[in-house]
Amino acid sequence: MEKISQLIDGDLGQWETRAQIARLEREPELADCWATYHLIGDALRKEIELGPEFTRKVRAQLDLEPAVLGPRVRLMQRTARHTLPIAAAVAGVTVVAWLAFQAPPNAPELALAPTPSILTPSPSNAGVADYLVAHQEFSPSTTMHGVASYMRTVSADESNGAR
Amino acid sequence: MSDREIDQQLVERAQRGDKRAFELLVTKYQRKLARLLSRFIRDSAEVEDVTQEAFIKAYRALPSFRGDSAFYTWLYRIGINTAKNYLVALGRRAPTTTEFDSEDAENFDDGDQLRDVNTPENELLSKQIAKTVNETMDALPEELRTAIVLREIDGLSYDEIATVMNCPIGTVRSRIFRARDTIAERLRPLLETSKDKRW
Repeated sequence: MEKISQLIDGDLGQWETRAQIARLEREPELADCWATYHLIGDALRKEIELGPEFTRKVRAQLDLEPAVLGPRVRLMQRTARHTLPIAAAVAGVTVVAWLAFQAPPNAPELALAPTPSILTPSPSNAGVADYLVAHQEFSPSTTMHGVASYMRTVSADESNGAR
Repeated sequence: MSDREIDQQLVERAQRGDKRAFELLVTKYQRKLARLLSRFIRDSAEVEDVTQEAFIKAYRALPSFRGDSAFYTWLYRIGINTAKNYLVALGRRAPTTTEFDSEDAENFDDGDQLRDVNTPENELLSKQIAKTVNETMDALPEELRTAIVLREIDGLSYDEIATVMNCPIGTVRSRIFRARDTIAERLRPLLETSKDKRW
């Protein structure tokens, strides 16, 4: 009975609370104790007293009701709280691994390959080429956005053998 | 565990189809809900009917209860709506939301006004219970009486009571239990007269 007193006052831990609630449902004398202790508290606080038939009537009506089956939201929330961070971590690792394994085996060689034509103006329109070279950092076609402004670009005409 | 968490556990059990868990919530909140509803339904028989209906509606609505608010706040809201609908159906004026708000429903206090809504039968039982509780309280050793008053009327936690009474928390636990047990013993003959009618 002392456990019921503690239960009513919220003095039990989570597991003990669960155990006592389970006992309350199994043992009618404990349920009577629960009811009487609540009655005492209500009497001390001068709550209204209902007729002696009240609880019996509610119980009889509950017996006629089909059992409800709720969503158990709290349980799902608790589960989600523990599993979501793990799932996020696994997903992150998976993405990184996928990106790593997607790179072709000769990737370093490709990175060292010469940049295509934009840096090599054709002799026929050298004026335009100078303009393009001077402004190529603003070109949307570059694959190195934001880096070009820190690079020094040069143009060479190899046909004259000059450097 | 807090009171709210204990209620939540009972709700979750009821949501899994355990009616007995809901019955425990009924025994816990029936008088508080009736007191709330008697604030605007004067007839005690009607108060009982509406309280009963509110509990059944709450039970039916349990699948939609997600624990966003405390169970009693949710229950009180259902009680108030049930009472409003009842009064409207009777052609009486229902209280407006500004007159009565479920948010502060749990804190209202007009006990003197409420005690006279009882029927003769309820009033007799209520008086017998109150008399027995009061007499037993007066006869309790001072430390037991103080402990249970601090808990039940002032709503202090065991920790706070231990501080106020300058004693270990285990002593507080024991004193409150002994006080309850003593009063329960004195109430037993009274309650056993209708043992099959009570839980």
